[in-house]
Amino acid sequence: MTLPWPPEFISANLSEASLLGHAMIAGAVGLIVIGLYAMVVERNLARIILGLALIGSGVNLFLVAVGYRADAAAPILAGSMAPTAMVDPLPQALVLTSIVIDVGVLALALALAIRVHEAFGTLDTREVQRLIAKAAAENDRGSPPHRPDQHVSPSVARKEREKRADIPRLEELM
Amino acid sequence: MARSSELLVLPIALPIAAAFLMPVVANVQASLARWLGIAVVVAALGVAAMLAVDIAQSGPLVAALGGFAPPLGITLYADGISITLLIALLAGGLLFWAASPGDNVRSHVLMVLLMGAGSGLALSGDLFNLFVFYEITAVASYGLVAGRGSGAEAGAALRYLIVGTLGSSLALLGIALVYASTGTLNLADIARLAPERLAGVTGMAAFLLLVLGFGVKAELTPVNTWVPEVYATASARVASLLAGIVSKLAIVIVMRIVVLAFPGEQARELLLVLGIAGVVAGEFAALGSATLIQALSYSSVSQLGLVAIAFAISGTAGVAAGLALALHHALVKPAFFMLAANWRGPIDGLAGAAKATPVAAAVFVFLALSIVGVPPLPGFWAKYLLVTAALAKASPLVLLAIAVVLAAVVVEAAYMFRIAVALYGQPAPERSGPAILRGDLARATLLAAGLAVVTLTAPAVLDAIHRMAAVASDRDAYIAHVLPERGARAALSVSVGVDQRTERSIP
Amino acid sequence: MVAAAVLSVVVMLAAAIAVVRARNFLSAVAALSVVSLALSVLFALLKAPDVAMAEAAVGAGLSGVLLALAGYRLKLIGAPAAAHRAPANSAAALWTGVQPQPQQRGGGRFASLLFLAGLAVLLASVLASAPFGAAPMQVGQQIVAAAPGEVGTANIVTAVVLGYRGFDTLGEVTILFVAATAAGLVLGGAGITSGTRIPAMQPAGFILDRASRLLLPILLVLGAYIVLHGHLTPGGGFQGGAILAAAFIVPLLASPSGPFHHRLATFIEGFAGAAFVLIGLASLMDGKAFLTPLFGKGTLGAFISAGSLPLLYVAIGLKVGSELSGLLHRMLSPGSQP
Repeated sequence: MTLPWPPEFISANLSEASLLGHAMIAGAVGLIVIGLYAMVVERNLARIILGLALIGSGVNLFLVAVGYRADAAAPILAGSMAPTAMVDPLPQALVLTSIVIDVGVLALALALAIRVHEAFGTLDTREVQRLIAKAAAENDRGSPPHRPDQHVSPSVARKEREKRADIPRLEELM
Repeated sequence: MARSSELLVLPIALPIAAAFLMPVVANVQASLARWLGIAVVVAALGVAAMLAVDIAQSGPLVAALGGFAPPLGITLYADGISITLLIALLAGGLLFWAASPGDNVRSHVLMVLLMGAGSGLALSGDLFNLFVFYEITAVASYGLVAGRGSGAEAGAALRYLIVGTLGSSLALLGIALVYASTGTLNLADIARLAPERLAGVTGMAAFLLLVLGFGVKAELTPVNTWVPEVYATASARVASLLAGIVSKLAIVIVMRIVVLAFPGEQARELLLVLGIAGVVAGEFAALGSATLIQALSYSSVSQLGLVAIAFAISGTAGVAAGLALALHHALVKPAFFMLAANWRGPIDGLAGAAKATPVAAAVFVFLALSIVGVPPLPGFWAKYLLVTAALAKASPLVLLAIAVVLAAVVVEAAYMFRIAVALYGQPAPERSGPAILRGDLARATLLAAGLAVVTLTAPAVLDAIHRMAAVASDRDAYIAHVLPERGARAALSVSVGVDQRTERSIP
Repeated sequence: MVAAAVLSVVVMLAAAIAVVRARNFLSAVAALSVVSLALSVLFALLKAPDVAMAEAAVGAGLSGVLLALAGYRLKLIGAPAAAHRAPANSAAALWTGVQPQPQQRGGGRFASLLFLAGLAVLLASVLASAPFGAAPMQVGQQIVAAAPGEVGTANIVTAVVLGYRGFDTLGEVTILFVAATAAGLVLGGAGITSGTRIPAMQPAGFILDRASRLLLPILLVLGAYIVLHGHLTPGGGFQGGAILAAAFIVPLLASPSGPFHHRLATFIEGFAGAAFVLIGLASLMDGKAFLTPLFGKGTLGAFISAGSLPLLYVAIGLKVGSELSGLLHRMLSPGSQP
């Protein structure tokens, strides 16, 4: 199967199309690398989460750019017009999904960060790592039997307050 | 002849629908929601059993969702390996989750969603759809790791989420590169175009990104830093499911990607290197572990490294070895975790455990013998398959892999022996050995009994594994099943559940 | 057009650097919103109006609000600025967790920059090897040709989202649900113990309060329009759902003590989600494959067309709207259970 567009078009418009392409690639790579930089340099978990968001955006930009065709229209039919050349609609659908995934993951990450901050009073990833290890060690020192069915959590800073048995479960749900 | 291909969607759709409704039902009665979840997982298991019978009798099943002919819509594909993993997932879910009424309704919802999304991972035949289900599985497991617990659990989950999300972004970038090169997402269509379009540098970059992305859950080496922290922090039931079954779903996806999209030697060598690194890193870390749970976590990394080595060996033999190792680990590691949940603390402090619960110690020794690879046990057969498959391909890198595998056996034996000695040691005079919860012991014993059954029926099991591997390692057959009109072997007559109303010509 | 694209890329990357460099978390979040807005301009230039709309509504709007609310609860906003900037560590340290010595600071940061510069070159060369502006429309071409007749939506992206890849969309709805459920599980009963630790939000002034009430019907109509016309024009269930969520959340931002009906949201969420699956299963009962579009296709471009696809978008819009507003409310007011 041959490629469905005339190659002479590309050579005719080479400069503009390739310039646009370079701009898009630069944008995508820039976002990914800046996001990675944030993840590497930052120790604050909230800042690392911002880095993740940047990386996700960069990948989305690349994915939309993959479906772009210089000579084509947006993939929406105006009225009952006969279909003309259109950009590839598939990557656009994928990116719609990806954007929603990103926001879902972002929300969960922030919820976890809030929980960590409440319990430990810090968002420094190394400090958190150390406190997790400490909690695991304390958990290990606790005498058996360990009750996995009502998983008793490691006690660290504010265990007493967190473990209130009187919270009604149905209220929790709402 | 009617095939049950239209049922393929049910193990995915039913748990998802039930999960949507569970919070509503919980408003009426909290326990009702849990029972709804259990009922749906049982129903999905029943459907999976029906599908398994159909597949065993008449070969792989294909379903074109939405009625759109394969390369256009999303396809589900099930062969022996997919259906085995599906049954393992659902049965594992019931075993580890169903008997825990104490949890919050939300964690039941997450567990049911893990079942639905895991089924999607086992059955989907579309690269992006796999990514979507991979993300659902990942997010559900972050939530399950965190639970309603303390900051430590939330912290471990968040650090896991950061590695996992970075991996997912890399995987999506890999998918974008695959799409840019092939213009399709259907795995069979990609397989058809792969030799021509994915053989170059771009293809290798895409492969690296995909392996790193899916490798997070498969515990492959550069992206498995979350493993010890999460398994030591999460509840034993969640750790069992993640280490035992979800990791296998992920590594089998890597296998499918290698077999279908990257049949070249370079991709296999890359996977081989990652596998060797995993075995080495895992075994050394396990040897130096202070606690049982840590040793088992690192041993999990090393076992999945072995699976990666096996899947890197081309041909049926490699896939068969990897499948055997993966299924063996899926049976053994959850049982280990069930015991380890009760045997916390430094390994030397476990003295007297055998005296307190002789059955548990005996089960542990049985599992340990199998994972090290002592002859009549299944673990031996799995490693035997791996070494013979590797010996058939005598490239330098494969020979290195064999050496590493054999060295790993020695290291594994060393630390398992150390743990067993500790279990059977004399406790300090003033304290007795650690007790064990009855439910955990029952689950571990059940899994060990399964292992014993496999030991007794080893020839039949090995035969079944070979048959499954023969199907899964055959690229042309996969293409022919999903795209019957374009397959390389169009003569292969298969009745697929494709809605044939959409006949169209390619422009 | 090229000039606009280059300008947007420059603005976007400058804002991205600001996200990383900003001393203050709120500035970083604002910069991230600018990144999203520039990104949505780029999506529009790439002829992806649906994606541009989603990025603007979800990326710039919703993510920004989520981050700002979280920053508030993390005391990164509205609290005296703490020294958050960490000493540099190397890429290896991220993976191994090995702590570099303090005196490595300058060198570590330089090494990270060097490493990332190399990575950027590598990544750029790999990504640039994909042909730009000449997408290999293996499947896309067939979908563009077949979609108007086969699915009957004027918006081809909707045909892909709900038709050809409707199963992905079920996954997409599910992932928001999983994330919201997990966030609810994590935030659950925690944080209500001592009100002093969570800075109480001040109610907004009279003008903002009234304006937000005025905004409610406008946003509702707009959201409903975008959901209902998803098969004809850019937009659809997700974009419209995000706007519906905003309709309910903006008044709450103005007066945080206002009522929010979590129970109702849970019901809408559950039934709308189940409706999606049931519409899919209805095709199965009909002897067709899961999620096969039902009913007639109607006239292309008419409001009532494309069979059961608009119904799916209504279900998605309701589910996304109730889910996101519930999630935002949970972030907003940790202590107030109805």
